[in-house]
Amino acid sequence: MRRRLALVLLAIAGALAPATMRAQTTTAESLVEAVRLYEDLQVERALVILRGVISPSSPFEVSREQRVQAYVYIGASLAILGRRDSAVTYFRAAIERDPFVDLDPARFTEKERTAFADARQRTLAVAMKPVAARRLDPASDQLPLSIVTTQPAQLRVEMRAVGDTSGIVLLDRESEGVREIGWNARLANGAIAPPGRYLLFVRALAGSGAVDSAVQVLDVTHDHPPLEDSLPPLRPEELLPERHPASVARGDLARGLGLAAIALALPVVTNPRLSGGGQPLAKAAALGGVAAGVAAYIDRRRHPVDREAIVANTRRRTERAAHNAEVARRNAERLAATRIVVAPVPGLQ
Amino acid sequence: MRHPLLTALLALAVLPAAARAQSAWIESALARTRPAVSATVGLMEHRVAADPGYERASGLVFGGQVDLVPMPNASVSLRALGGTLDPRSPAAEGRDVGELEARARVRLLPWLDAGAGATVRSFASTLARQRWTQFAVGAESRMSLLQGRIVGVAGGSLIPVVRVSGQPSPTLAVAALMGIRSTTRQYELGLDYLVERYDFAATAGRVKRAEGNSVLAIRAGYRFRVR
Repeated sequence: MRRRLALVLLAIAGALAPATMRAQTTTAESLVEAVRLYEDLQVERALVILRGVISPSSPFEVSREQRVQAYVYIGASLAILGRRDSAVTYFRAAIERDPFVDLDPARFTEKERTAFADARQRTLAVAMKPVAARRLDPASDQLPLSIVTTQPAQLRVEMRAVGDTSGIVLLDRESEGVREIGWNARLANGAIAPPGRYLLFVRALAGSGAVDSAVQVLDVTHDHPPLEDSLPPLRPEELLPERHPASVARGDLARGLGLAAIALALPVVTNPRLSGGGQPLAKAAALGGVAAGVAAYIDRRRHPVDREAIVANTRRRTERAAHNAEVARRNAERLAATRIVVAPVPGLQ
Repeated sequence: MRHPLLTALLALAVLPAAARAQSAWIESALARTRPAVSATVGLMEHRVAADPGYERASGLVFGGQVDLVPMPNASVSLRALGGTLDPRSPAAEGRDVGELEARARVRLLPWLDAGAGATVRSFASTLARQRWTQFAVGAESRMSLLQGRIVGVAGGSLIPVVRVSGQPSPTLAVAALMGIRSTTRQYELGLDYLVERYDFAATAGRVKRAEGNSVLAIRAGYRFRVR
């Protein structure tokens, strides 16, 4: 019973498995078989299988790497069969698709490698290895880049922000073969590359005038602790008015006159029976009140600037500036610990 | 005295330390209480209205005042005044007056103080000496002019306890005050006008009468500050 159930489940899984997986498996099996035949020197039989792999009518999906491998073994088989020109043609097809491809001296004969070298000389191709996602310390790390040209050529490697003509030239010199360089995540001015999308251009110009280029799209992000926001400048409504309104002067005058009235009223209210003979002291006190009110009124009109408000506003502005300076200092500390994350953009290679 | 040299050496060793300790204590006390001293010159007037007579005497008085701030919202004042009042009406007679007042204030609101004070006042004439002892409670409100550089004060007090030597206590005693003060960091100039009223009921051998004191005083003060 259990066995029957397992078979049913296996059948369902087989039906639901992606067709591409089955196709790739089939292509891979074909390549394994072709390589085995090639190594047994049954190159004719190997060629049949390999041509089936690269045939447009092949029902199976073939990846770029598989196609390159097929071209290489077709070229090698043809070289063994003495069909050198055809071998070179297939080697060139392999090189055009993957300029990094090379023949292992341990597995391929001199005759095959000579044909391959000839193919390289006839094909200008430049490429770079796909950049793997990486986290860099801009102070010490570099993003490794591996670039190849199949011929001697003037090689120029440039990192450029999308939508920006400025960039940094990482390499601009004669080169051939594989070259390893690094990018320290900084721009030409020494500043750390700001977050954004970048294009990694590689361009090769051969002496014959032939040109080839390649590009990779990379996303650069900054990884650091969250930054604090600084406070905005104080708005006018958040500050005290620095000039007294005219009503303040009138209010001071009114208060002085009020004090004078109180002075005149005191003996009348408290000692009505003792008010005979006049109230010279009350009058003198009232005069003092009037004088204080008038003096305050005149002073206010002559000096409408509110010094205390100016001092208070200055203090507020200073406090805010100090706060923002402290925020900036803390943010600078966090930015100093920034790590640069470089990652290829899927689907844009 | 048996060892004068030893005593002198001991004094030389102890006195500077004691002086330093005393100096530190004084500085601490000054910083804590922010004392102010002021001199006062004023005009005092004393009036008596009794059926059917009316007396009025006035004259210059001089004095001094000490203010302390023992707590952030509380102050204590000690004031002494003295002078001679000359008769200003036919029935009046000249007299010397001396007064000692202690008053405490507590700030209830930024514009309102509550206070209580005790006053001992003495009138001395060629005929007799009379002592007034009283205790008052009241409130003072402040109003600010020129952003506090000038402060106006108005207040009133009930005087529930009044003892007058040789006389019964008054049936009603009240006081009212108006003042203007200009203050800088260390100096203060003030004008105070104080009015007191005492109503005495008719008793055996005495007629109903009212007495009043009023003082208009100018005060100049200095507040000690410790850095």
